[in-house]
Amino acid sequence: MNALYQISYISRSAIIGNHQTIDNEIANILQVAQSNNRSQDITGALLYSGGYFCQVIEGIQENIETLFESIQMDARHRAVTVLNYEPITSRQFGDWQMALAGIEEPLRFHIDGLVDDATQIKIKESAKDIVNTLYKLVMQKQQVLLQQTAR
Amino acid sequence: MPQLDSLTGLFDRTETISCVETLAAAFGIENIAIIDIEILRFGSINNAVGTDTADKVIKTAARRLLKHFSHVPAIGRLHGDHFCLVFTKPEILENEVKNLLEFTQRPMAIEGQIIVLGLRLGIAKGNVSTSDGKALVNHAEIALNNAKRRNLNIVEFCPSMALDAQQVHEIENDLRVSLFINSAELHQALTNNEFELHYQPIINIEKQRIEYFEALIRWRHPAKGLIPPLQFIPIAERINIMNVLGQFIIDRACLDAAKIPEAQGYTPGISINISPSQFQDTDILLATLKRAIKHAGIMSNHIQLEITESTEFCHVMEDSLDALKRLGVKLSIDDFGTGFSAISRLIELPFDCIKIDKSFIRDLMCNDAKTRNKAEKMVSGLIKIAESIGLKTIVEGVETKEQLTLVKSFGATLIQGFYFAKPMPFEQATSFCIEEEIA
Repeated sequence: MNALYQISYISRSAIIGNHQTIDNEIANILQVAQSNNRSQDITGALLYSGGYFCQVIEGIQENIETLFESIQMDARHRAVTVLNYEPITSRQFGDWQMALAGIEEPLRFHIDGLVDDATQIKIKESAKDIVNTLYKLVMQKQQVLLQQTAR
Repeated sequence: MPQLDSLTGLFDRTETISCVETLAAAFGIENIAIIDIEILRFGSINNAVGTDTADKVIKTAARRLLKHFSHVPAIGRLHGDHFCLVFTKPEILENEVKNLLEFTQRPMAIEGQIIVLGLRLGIAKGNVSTSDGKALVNHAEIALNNAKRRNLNIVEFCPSMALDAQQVHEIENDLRVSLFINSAELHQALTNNEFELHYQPIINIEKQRIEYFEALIRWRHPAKGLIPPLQFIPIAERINIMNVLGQFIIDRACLDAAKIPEAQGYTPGISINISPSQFQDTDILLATLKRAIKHAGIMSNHIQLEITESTEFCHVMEDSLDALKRLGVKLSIDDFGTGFSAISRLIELPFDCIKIDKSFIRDLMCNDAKTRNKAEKMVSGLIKIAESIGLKTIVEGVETKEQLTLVKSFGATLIQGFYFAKPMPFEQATSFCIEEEIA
């Protein structure tokens, strides 16, 4: 039960409202996540784009499963598709309790196609791409933040 | 104190019914609706992940119900993988069903794996003719069973379902009682040595010798006497004990084969009938044959297997026939002419022999000239075709001198039937004097 696991999923947003409402909800999700994840030693990243959430979570199995179940109880999203759930040797998002990969970032993968044709092979292939894309987006955001701080 | 289910903390069945009755008294039964929920293929989940993880699945499903249906007056676990939601506002049920399916069917991460549940729902709404709360719960269960039978995911109860359910229950019950008795008797009979093999000679009239003894099972029932195979083999097939019975036949037949005395430099073999269900599990059949042949210390070519033609010889079976052939046993198609085998398929399959169905031999003596003529052409044609492709032919069901003369004129050499001998106990069969009979 102490093994390190990574889970990633995509889901459709069920948040109703304008950009501001969505931004506020996501800020709220992040704030709660960052606060709770610290105590549970959970790391990860969240992306909101085109009406979809995409999230990666890493941590020890028991904590991951508890958190994932609480996410499943959340009415702010629906149609959850798990992309991967597997043991990992090291964390990809170890520096972030829950990094925001972006809101309305241009997608670099075709979520609609994936959801509509959720075959195991396609999901497995896409999971790696999606997690890597989230990682790149998080890193780009970090760069921008660092540049802003330097100025 | 309410009675709670120990695993989930939800109401148990008794408490759920009691709660429905209380609600019916308070709000009127026509304002009560019930959704009976079954987790689909939970048995497979249980087998795949084990009981502990399966229990966690049940607990997780229960927690989801508690979270999303905190507004409903009662949530119960009726038994195993069956839950129940009790509503007091039947008019909004459509929305509730939508929510139920959405949240309960979301993926679960349990013990390092993702499990996604599927649900089947039986819905019952109370009305003036619903007698009480217990009846309403029962209606939801009937609707659920109806959904199961029709392979649907959601079904709402209607009164005609209760009658259907009663009839289905009665038929199933009769069958189960009957099968239980028969199956128990069959198992007991195996251990009590109530089964015995009788042997009917297959005679080579050309060489004037017994070519094979066909092994035929008999059940000497302690109370009912000798029961013919037609009465118990279909039951054995239906209740899946044909492999046990088949194993007994193979073991005994091989042991008997080892005791057959040589006559005129030739030792007759034994022909064993293989049922379609035995043939479907070729690995078991092969292992049983190998062990029995080795244990009896006989040559495998002393055994002939008779496989009924009605067993369709598809490509998968071709592999099985090849495997049996490699073992060294002889293969014969039983009841040939009644099934589906095309002559062209015969050439491709590794058979040594065809056994022409006895119905054709019976028709050789038919009063109707047309039937008789057709049977003559069929028997003589089959013998010629078989010979031309290198297969032997056994003509079974020969009961009279006239039939024998006729099939001899068609070129038949291997004959079986009451004209020569009925099936008989082993000792009697092996002392059967062929010369007298052929003469």
